[in-house]
Amino acid sequence: MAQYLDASADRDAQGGVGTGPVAAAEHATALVVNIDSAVTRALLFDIVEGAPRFVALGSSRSTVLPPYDDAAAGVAAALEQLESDTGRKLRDGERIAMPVRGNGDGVDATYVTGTPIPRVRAALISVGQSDLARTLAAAARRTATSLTTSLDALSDGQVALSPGAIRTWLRATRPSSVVLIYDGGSADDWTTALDAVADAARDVAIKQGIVVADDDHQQSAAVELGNTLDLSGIDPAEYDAREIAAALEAELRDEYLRRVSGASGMRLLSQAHFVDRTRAFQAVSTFLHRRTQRSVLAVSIADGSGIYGVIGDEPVSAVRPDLDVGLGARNLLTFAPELVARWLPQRASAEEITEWALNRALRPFTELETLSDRLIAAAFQREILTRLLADVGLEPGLPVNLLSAGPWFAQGDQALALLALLDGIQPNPPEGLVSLALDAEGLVPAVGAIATGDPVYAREVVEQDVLMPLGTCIVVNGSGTEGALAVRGVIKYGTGEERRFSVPFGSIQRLPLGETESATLTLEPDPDFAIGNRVPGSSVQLEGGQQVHGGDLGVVIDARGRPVVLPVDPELRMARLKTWIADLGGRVE
Amino acid sequence: MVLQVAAAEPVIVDGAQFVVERALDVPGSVAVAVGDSVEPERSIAVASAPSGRVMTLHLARELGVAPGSIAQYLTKPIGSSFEAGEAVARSRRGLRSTVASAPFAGTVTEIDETAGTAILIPATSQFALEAMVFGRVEALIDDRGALISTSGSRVRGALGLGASVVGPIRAAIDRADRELTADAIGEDLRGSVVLAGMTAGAATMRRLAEVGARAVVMGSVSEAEIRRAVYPGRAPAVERFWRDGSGTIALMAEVDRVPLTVFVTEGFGRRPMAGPVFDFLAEHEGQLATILAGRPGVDEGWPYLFFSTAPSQLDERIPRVVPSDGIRARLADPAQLGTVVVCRGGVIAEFAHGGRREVVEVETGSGGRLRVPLANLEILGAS
Repeated sequence: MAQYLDASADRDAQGGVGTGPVAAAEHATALVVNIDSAVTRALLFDIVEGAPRFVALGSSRSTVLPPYDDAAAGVAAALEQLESDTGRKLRDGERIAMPVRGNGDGVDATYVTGTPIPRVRAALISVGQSDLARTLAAAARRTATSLTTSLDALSDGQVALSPGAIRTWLRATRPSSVVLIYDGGSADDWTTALDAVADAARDVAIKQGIVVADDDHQQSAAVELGNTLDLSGIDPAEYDAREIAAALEAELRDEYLRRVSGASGMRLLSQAHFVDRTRAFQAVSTFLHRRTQRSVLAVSIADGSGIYGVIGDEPVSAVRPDLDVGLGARNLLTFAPELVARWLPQRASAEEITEWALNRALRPFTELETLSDRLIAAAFQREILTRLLADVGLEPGLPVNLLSAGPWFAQGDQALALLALLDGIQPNPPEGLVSLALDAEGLVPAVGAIATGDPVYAREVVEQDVLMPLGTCIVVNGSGTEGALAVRGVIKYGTGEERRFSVPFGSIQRLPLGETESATLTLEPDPDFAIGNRVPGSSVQLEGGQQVHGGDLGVVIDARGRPVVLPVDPELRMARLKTWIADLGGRVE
Repeated sequence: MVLQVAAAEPVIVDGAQFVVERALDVPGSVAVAVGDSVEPERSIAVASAPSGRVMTLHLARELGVAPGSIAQYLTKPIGSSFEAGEAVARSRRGLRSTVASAPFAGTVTEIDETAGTAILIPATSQFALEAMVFGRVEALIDDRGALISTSGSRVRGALGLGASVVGPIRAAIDRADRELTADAIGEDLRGSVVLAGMTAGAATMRRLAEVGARAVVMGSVSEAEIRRAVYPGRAPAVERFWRDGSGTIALMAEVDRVPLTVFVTEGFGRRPMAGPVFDFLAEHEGQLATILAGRPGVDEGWPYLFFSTAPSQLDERIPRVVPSDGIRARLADPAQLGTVVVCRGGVIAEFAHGGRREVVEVETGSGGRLRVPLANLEILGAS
């Protein structure tokens, strides 16, 4: 991890993870239980040789969903494994043993993050313009909310005129909260929407209504729904979209917190402090950004999908809680199969891709063992990442310097994982260097949770343990004829050994460089090509403090340009994808 | 992972006692008492419910006509009854026809020519929930139904669409890896639960519905064929048809429109039914089979097929089987879905990135051996 932190000076913490001098830690031993719909992870942190370190992980299948409907069994199983692996007793009857005891049993602090109870189900109904609705949908998805929107679910992106369509949709999705947005639509459509919600509320336990509308339309909502729903309102004429989004996010986050604190299955963790997952991820991203002065992005595709980071000085986060290649597989059907097929180095019909997603939805807990399954999953991951960027108004080609991915990426072929990241995000920083890292144990949200209570402790763990280096990617921009030379260069290892290379346009080349190694790299791009956004044809010498660092995949020269353009001809495209995977050391047959 | 429970209920359970939940979706009155013996057609709960609530239909807006003119567009006089989905009003503009339908069954009692609306009063219907199995009432579920104890055999499916049904099982094909075609279907299958082997297409499903078959049981199904069977004309988009509003892993299509109940043992695509499952079902030729389609939120939403009898004191509990040498299982990851294997040993712990996982060594039909994650293994039977 330390390699990512070399570039800049330390700074004091201002929220998020602390970056100031190490003070006396508030606690010595911390337990974080990260619960999602698929997996429960119990992570133990302790002082090792004077510094806080990650010690061990226990995991279990999650029991949040049916047939268990209670996180407790999964938490107990994960803790049991952790106790067995460490030889330390962490429980005292039905409680976590706190504080730590003389023999090392117990912990000083316990945190919970993730989704220990099912998400809040919410529906967003938009009447009128869709821009505000999309902003608010992105905000709602940053919380533990399973959101469905009229923009996505109802025909032509607007509220259908028939109240029956809305009623049927609400009955199918069974929201407990409804967000109603009036943004310049017709009065008739507003009336239709209110009628439909009032009607559906008789069959569906809709408890909460959030009305984003001017005073008159808030009044009409109060008349129609005031006796049925707990209503709150905000006028878009008085606040800008960002303020409304922040208010909605806070409201939905608080609602989930209320439910967590009242959940009966959390008795074992009753002394724990719950930290929202987005907040936890963002805390670590913010720390890394402050610490390195670089743009960072963490990617998680597990229980839902999310990107969390800081680009330039702007925090960026987008979450799709119901979209992934496991429990959220049914929502993979929202991608056109041809979008997915274009990333496959093998022929696959639209029906095969659709049925793959449906079979995955039927059995979301199976592990993807075969190459064909992993290739399809990686193809979907690329499209998921593109959609997440689009949710926050971004496109592939972000100026990201540090790109990290969560445990799901560590479970299969690392070449495929890397390619999915590179193709989905298409990092393109000005200086052309991207550090790639893996969070194999899911430490980022765990440490982010600790940061809310003890930022200094969290900072120490981030510095030492959190990210496993995958490698360094050199982005070569420009375009030319296929196969024309894009860049040539020399890598000089610490042993004195040198290796020359030349990379044609449209290719990827991998140069071995171990996790603990660094090397001097000389790059001489052709006149039509540039390293990052530097002057085309200008040479780059990365030496001394700028040396490149290695990882499992070493140094990767990505000479495909930005944006990455896939050949139109299917045979050529598949051949190209096979070559990219093979060049990164992955299997293609 | 620890709770990756090694012991699992097998897909085929033979000679055990089961508890079946039968409950109304809406409150009603329960018609049985604890200890009652029941047979499949016995009514255990009755509900009467309006098909909707009093609703204002915005006819002028839906048709795009002047509010004062809606009377001339009504398809039936005021006071008429309409079925759910039936056209209440219809307008034509050039070649384009626009229809305003009744969202539920009911009666149009009045129109408002100022607003261009009509009032629809819902019809009230009464329906009974049947036991569907032979058994004994173990407990009542207030206002909803009962838990019924039953004995016999059970097969767990992967996907169930349509209503729960009962009928004698009839093998319409003699192999697990063959598709049942429409030309092989005769009137003799009326009232039957039809064993169809590998798969059946939309034409076959519609033909089965025409002859009055209760259900079709097959190894796999093409999702496009299901959509075509439900919508013979223009099928809706994939993501809308397979919408799951429940938040569970159960896949819910528009089950009310499925022409007959569909029970799939393996999954989507064109995959043979697992041999042991086909053989087990074929051995019960002529016996009364009950298909209980999955309910979201109940267990994991799996559908089940039962051959039930009255409960016996001698019945065993449902076994939980740990993989061990000789145990037959099938693989469940997408690429290998339905592949039948034989376990060659117990569960082994393996360490990998992100923690440890349990794996089992298995032998495939070709004699090859491989290690597969326990999560990808579905035990077919207890022996």
